[in-house]
Amino acid sequence: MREKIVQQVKQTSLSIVQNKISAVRRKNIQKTGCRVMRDNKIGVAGGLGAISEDELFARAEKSLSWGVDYPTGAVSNLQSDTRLDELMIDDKQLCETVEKVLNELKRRHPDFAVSNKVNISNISLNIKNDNGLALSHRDSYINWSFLLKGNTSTGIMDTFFGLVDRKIESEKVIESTSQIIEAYKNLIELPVGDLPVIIDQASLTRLFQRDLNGKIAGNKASLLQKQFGQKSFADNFSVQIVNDPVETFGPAFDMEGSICPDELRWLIKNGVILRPYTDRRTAMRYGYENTCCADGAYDSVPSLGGCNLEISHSDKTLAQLLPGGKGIMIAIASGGDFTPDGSFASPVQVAWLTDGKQLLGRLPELTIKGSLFDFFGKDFIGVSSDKIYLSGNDRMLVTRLAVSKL
Amino acid sequence: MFEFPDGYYADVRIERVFRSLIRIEMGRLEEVKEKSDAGAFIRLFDGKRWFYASTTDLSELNNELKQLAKLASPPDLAAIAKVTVRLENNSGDFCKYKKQSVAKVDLQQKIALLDSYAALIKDDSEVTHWSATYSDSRSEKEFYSSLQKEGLVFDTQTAGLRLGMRFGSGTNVFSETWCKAEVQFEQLNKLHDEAKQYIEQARDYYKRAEKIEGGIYTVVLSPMAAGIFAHESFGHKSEADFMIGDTAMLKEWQIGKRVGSEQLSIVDDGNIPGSGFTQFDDEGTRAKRTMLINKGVLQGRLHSSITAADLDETVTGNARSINFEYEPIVRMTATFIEPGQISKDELFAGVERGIFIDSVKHGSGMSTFTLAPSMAYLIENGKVTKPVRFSVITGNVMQTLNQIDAVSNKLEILSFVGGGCGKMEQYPLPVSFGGPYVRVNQINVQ
Repeated sequence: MREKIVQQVKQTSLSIVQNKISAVRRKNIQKTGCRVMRDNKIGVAGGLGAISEDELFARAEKSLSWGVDYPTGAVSNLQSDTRLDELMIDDKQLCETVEKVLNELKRRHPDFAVSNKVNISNISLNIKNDNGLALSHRDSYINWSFLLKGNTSTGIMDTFFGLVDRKIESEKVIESTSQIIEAYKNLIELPVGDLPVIIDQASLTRLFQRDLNGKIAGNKASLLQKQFGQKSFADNFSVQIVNDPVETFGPAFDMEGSICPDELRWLIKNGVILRPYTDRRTAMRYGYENTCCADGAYDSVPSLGGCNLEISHSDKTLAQLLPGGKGIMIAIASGGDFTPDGSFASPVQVAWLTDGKQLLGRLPELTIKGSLFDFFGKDFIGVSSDKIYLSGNDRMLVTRLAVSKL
Repeated sequence: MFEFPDGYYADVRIERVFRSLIRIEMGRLEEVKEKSDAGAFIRLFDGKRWFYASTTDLSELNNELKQLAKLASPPDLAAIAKVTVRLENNSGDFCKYKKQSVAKVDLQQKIALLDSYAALIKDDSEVTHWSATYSDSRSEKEFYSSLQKEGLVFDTQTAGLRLGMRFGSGTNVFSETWCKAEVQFEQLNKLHDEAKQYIEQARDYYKRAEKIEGGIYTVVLSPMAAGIFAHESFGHKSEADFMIGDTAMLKEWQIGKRVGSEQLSIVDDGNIPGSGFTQFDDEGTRAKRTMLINKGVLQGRLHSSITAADLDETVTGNARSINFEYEPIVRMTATFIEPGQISKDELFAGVERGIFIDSVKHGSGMSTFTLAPSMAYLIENGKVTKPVRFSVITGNVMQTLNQIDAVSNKLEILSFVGGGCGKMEQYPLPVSFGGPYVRVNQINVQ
């Protein structure tokens, strides 16, 4: 059984320093990986650029002798072709567009500097094998990544704006960045009383990446080991694997070429922990269902890494989710972590007061604390139905955490 | 060899990288990979803007140079010279690891070595999940520029091991990683006792660690914790690309300004063998020993030719990229706190009740720094008494630099494989860091 993976990245990257484009980088890199599977073993090889497929398969064949177990064999008879690569712009137009955005931001905010990167990427990933597997994913998108810094500030950066999009919507970028800058300049006191916290999902779901990993659960090493099949979180708290390319900017299939069926995407439903996430080898070894989360580089043995997790969103907008109409939105919380028992604490370098529609001002530096079983349990409020382009591409998680001034 | 377009500054960096990776997980061989890749990064400067291309087609480098010149404006010779005057234009062959290349070591030998470390943990009934990883790389770089008659060739090499272990289940779980990197494969043969001791320390921590109340403590940082603190809290602020065109930053970070206590000196030095070894940077500048803080006073910062030109300072050998797909930007190499005069015991003796942070999961540092400890201990009456659990320590960076009141007299610099430093889009870059034991007052433990 022979399987071939081809990954292609074409990218133009603009470096930005003080609202000016300081550099233009172009790349076009192809990476090819070949796998050979035989007698429950796998051999892999890979290379860059125009490389002989025969040579790669010969190397993969040779590496079978190391005896890496792969008892599941390859995925067969599955075809998929996703085309999301509609964004087309040449380098000159891109430079002009970005320059206009930077100039407008400079005009509106002469006291703030914009730096870092705007990248436009055209990517593809193809997996094919002798068993009728033929998967293709193509996408193109622009990634705006602005570090924002006041002219009198003495830090590396004050705050940021980040957005990945399949359309170039300069006005949206200007308006959102402006709103962030205006809010940053308006330093306000932490309101008295118990306000909910609005935070990006990954900050708090990262413990699931570790403790719902099939290898960890299969070896009975998970914090949640005794809670599989049991209700552990709030009624309205559900977590699923998300593999929609429109949402994730990644392929629907995993690095083994599997696509997770809808019914297996739920890891937690209505507060009950249903299953760990797995790849084919992990599922077979520990008797779990395969949730199609094989990860790895183009030239690696596919294995269980992380997965895209999403808390199911409510039918309420962010504004509707805020009891009392206001909340604390975490913009930068760098350096936080969980203890092994599920307690979480993090300093918050930048946070906004918001009504769910607008940023009302910048709060002082804070500390947030909570326990996994509380902030996804009795304190869980919900996830917004709308996306706000002020803090990445996520729908925002609303819950209650202990908040105090640093 | 290369047809550099007239008037512009241009350079070509060709990278040839050998890597191998072996992973054993729960007794099973999960991955064996060995590969060699080559690619090139090309830069062209017209005096206003830089133009970059990365490619795997080494036969097309002259064409890439021509294409970049087409994108550029006519050369502004004075502006180009402002940058190029900083460049050292070194040439010659400075490879150190050709003869003892990790590429010459048989893969079977590497598997056997990893097996011998996996044996330390594989039958341990208290370890519920484990993995053992061997990885190595040798990177040979050729550098040519429009200013040089001859090219420059140099290399870096690391070989290392990681043992990841998880003890327990349910609400009493503890994960820890032992990691070590050297520059020669053979150096990894003698670390079994160290690894074994670390596993036993982690087991003891898992069994005995108790939650501790948050609050303000005196904290002693191990060489690893001190190194991460130096790197995250101060090192990134010394990278001069954050200062380009920024008068407020330049005023705040004026050379000669007091920024920390008398006890504190921080150095970045790419000459030190290990994962931060950068004999030449990706602009061909030779590694320097750059004193960032000397006895609490700001003395230097890290530069590429671009930032050195902007700030009218000299290059420091810190223009680094993670691989041939990226441009060099200002990065650290081996960053460490310099040792002091007192012994480790004397340093601990000065703590009536405090926290000792031995190992660290991660750290960060903007205006506020954090360190998330992996193994930490209570200090009572100058002695380490029991393992304790908490999430993070945190504090204001500048206040904390002034709260350092003692450093011990022995320096340890640590090297790693399987991770590195991240800056913007470029991750991971191999770096090393370290220090002596460092005592800091008034630290917020959460």
